[in-house]
Amino acid sequence: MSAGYRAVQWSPGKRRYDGALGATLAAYLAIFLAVTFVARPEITLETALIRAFGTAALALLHLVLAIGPLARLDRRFLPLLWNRRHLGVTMFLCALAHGVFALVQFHALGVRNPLVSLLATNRRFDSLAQFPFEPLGLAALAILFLMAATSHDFWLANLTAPVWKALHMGVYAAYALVVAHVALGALQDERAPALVGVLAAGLAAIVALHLAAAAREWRLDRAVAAAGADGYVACGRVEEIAEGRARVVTLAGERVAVFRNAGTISALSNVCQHQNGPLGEGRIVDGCVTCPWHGYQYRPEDGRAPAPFSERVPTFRVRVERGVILVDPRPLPPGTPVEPARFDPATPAPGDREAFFVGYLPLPRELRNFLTRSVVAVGLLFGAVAGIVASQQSPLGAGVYEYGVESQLEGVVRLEPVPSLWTTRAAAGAAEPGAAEAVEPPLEVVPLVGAGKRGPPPAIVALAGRPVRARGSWIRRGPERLFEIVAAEAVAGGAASPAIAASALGGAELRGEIVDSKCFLGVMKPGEGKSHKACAVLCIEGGSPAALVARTATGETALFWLVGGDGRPLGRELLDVVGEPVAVAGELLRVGARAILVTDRAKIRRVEAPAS
Amino acid sequence: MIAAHRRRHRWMMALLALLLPLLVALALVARPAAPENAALPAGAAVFPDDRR
Repeated sequence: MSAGYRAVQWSPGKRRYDGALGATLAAYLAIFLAVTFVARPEITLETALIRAFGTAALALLHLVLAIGPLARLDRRFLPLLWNRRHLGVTMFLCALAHGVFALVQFHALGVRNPLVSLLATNRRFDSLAQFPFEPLGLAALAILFLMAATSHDFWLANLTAPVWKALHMGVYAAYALVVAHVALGALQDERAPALVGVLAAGLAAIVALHLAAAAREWRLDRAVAAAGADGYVACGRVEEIAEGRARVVTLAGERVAVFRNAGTISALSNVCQHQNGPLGEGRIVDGCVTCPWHGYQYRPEDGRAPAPFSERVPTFRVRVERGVILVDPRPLPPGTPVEPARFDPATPAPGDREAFFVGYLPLPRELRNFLTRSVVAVGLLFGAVAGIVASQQSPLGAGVYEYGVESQLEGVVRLEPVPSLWTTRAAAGAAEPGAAEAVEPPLEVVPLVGAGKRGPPPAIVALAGRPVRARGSWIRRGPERLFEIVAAEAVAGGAASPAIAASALGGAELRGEIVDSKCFLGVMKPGEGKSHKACAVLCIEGGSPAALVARTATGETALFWLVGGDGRPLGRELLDVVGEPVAVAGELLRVGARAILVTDRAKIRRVEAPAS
Repeated sequence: MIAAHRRRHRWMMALLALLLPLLVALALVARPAAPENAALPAGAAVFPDDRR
């Protein structure tokens, strides 16, 4: 075995690589979060983290995919490919963080198992705009997990190189799934052209790099020389190959590396047994052909790795006649010794100034300078992407959730038209500025919800019709408010339930989106739209009152609480149209300060006219 | 065989290069317009769109 070879392990080069990777990722997350909290101060930390890690993972995935073709087009990028697996694992960890945060945020604390919610809540496979995007992300994450888990050479050896490589080609399937996940998910709600532009630019860059690399490889495959009468193929002249380097030729559909080494010519397969690296682009180091990707070595005279390693590549018979190299295109079994062809040692050789990188050798100075510039450029690009994406997020609404702030409220528990506390406006606090105070009756209907994605707890429901003193937290947006009730105790001797007449406002058909009132009014950011759809379904299913958000072109917004003809709140009947554009016909009532829309599922229709 | 592997790789790349931009374009074109009303009923508690 060559004294200069050792297995790939932690090294100063890898530490520098990982240091640059960590710094770039940290800078990306810092810039993204900083710009987000400045541009969208109403955002919640959970939503900001979901978006930060998700976009970081996608940016890293683009980098992972770009390194392969970049290294084919310009060998100076090979040091980036050498430790690419660390990039891939880091990218997976970011995607995992995104997935876990999103699962907890949108699918936990409800009446269903979170994974069941993620996979089964949205069944709108009949619509591109409403197509379930969450399972696409989960499928991509599963592929990336398999790749990250098998990224170590231990798995490469046990699965064998062809199986391992086929598994890791799954990165392209993962990329397709992630692009679909973004296009059918976030981009359905986010309308900023810059966001579409960033995704399109990334996709275009990956496609362009792969096409350019494929064109180069296709030209190499097409350069096939004709065989002579004895079957040997002419593969150029000795003086055209630099000392210690190779010429790569395509023979019978396979690439062969023809090496010049100390007055001899040897030919062996161009394909490294480690990860199919191009041996012909490597060098003779310590008497062995050295792969430019990860430094695996093979003896040129028999295609065997030096002891104690056991990799072998096919060899080819070769001879030299009047300076012309002739190679028999029929490969010999891997590891077959072949007498090298000898030539006049005085034969000139072209100069070779290209810096050669192998992971276990010091980085050549020329490559260090180039890579430093490249890493800085990538860092600046990541920073720009973070800033652009963070600054282009849509506003999330001014709802407020007084989480951790306990308030008290007294009133009578009523279950119709929506579970609520009927209380006086003085007890409920001052109305929001701009509310129609002049026409509001003295009593206010304060809808109730419970913790998590649930309606008021059974203990509260059992107090229906009775005056109570309740503790909980306020949720408010504009003139609308909701009380997340934690506990209540009956008030002895309290007044009976006050009567309040419902004012009929006539029939109407309103367009908007059915939301769960708790998230929309302030608990979740965003609390509407496709990305929130699954959470809205869970909340309504758990008892959070459903409401229709209706808007006008001039920006006026109103909330209409949805109630059935029997006077009870609508819930499970609406699950299939929650979070989608709908038109709802019904009778409008005003009860206290709340606008009620009495309708049923048959009067609700989807409105999915495309924007363009 | 590596040549076969490269051919499969290139067909896969060609498919992705064609299908992914098409998917993104279709997804964007299919985005529904935000549902709007000419006016909101009198008596509703109206507030300004706080997403603007």
